[in-house]
Amino acid sequence: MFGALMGNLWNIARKEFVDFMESRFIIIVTLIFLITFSINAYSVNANYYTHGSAIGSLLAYSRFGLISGLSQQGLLSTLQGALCNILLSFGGIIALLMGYLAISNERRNNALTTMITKPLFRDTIINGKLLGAVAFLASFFIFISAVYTLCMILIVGDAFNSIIYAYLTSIPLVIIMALLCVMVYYSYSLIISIFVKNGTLALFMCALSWLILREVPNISWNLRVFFGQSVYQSLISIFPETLIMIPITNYVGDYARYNGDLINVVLTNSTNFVELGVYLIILIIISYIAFLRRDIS
Amino acid sequence: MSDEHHQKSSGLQGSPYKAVILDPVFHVASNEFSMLMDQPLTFIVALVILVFAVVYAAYNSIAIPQVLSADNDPSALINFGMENMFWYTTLFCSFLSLCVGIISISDDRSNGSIRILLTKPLYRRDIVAGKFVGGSLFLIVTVIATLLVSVSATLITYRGPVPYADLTIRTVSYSLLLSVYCILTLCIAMLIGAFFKDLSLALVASFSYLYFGLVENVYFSDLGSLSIINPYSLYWSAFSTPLGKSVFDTSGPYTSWLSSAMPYIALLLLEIFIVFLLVCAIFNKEEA
Repeated sequence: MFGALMGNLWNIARKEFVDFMESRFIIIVTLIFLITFSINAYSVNANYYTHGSAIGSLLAYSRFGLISGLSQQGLLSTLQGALCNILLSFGGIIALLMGYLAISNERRNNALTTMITKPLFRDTIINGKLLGAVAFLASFFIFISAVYTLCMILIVGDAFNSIIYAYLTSIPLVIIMALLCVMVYYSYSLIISIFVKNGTLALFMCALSWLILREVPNISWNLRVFFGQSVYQSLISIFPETLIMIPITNYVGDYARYNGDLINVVLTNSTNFVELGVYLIILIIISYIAFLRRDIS
Repeated sequence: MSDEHHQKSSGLQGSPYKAVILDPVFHVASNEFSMLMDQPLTFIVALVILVFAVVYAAYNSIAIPQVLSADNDPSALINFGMENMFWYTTLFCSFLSLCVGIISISDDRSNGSIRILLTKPLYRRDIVAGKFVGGSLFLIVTVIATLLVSVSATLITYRGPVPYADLTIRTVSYSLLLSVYCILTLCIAMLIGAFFKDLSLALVASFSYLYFGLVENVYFSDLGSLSIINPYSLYWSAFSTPLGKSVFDTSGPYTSWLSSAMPYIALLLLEIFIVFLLVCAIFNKEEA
């Protein structure tokens, strides 16, 4: 019984993973990302060594947090922070679209109806989808990290040699942190897709709520004139991305503010990560309940 | 005889508007407009905009007097208060434009209603033009309503000196500019809808356009003057021209902004025209 259950789970997860891998949308979005990121990296590379150029310094700082004269530890923390930022901003949008496709797209082409008529528990379907999504996002993040690292080696040059071991060993932790955050977006999008039967409206709702979430820091900034700085800090700390970015960059792009010891940063700010984990668990529980109790077809 | 009877019963006989009312473009446009007005998403976006307008107005009511006390300039309401509204009005109005574009073509194709429309005695260009006109009218109404609510909320909470003439002319100019940008976004979403037959792919492509073109538009700045290939960069160049004059910048006369922004506005209009022609060309080849 347990073996069959695991077999079903494995099959669904594998199907989900392969579906995402073969999805034209992932290919299109990845291509757009690669083109824009390459232009970005090329531009920074072309200007980084011209320290006399204000534009060069500004570009390198605004895009990747790079400033001239960084210590080894500063450079390490900058690279880790910028990678995390890229994974969160780009991975967030991918995860949101994946959550939508996992339910709405399958509902539209009746694949979901076929699946729930099979001798499968509904929670196995959700578990399989979550597992497939985690596997896909992890592979995707490894790919993005590889592209980013190659670009940074080209930009930073010899200075990279002294930190390469510490940098490479910290990548898994950066990926895990980013995964934790983007899975919140995935689960959120999954829930909206389960509740809203109209697929188009479901994606609009996902997109709108994502835009609103991105505007939370701006709104909080405006509200601080009434309720003080503490309210601003409290409001932005409920936003999934800032829960990770506050410990790393103090949310102001100050990537070099810690000494590159990422494990220590995670341990000292463990409440942020616990809070993020709680968000994820709550959202997954809601998606279980919704998927088990709601008429899907 | 039957035509005459129909005209009498509908009260159209001798009406100067007869030709317009019978125009198929007008019928499709009015149907599109009413359909968009009934969309649940319209109400949700309107609610979000209202909340943002209230929060920004509340912020302006505190922040503008602080700016005012520094140099006692009554036009701080425009320089500071109106400039604050730029981002959220642009973000949510262009988001709505994208949704309208998808609903007009992709969603109609997905739920089969476009197939019914194609079997009617209508030219395909009339269908596209009708949807474009209806969608554009809806967006213009939305932009005007958004700015009315935002400006009114700020005026109510602010209660300071208001340069009404300058405020009116600059707000009207901004609403026209934002409307043009929203119509361009609508055309692009219609183009994506006409190009991608699969709804999911069209949705994802449109959303990616929103993400890379508007939210993460920083990537395009590396292209220098070529960055205006991104519609948002072009719109931004018209709003705040490379000469350093924004529509809400009262340090110079209004006409100096207008003259420097005009080429970009003309380019926006040209892009709308080209994209619209492309939509018509692709839609004409569509199989019913």
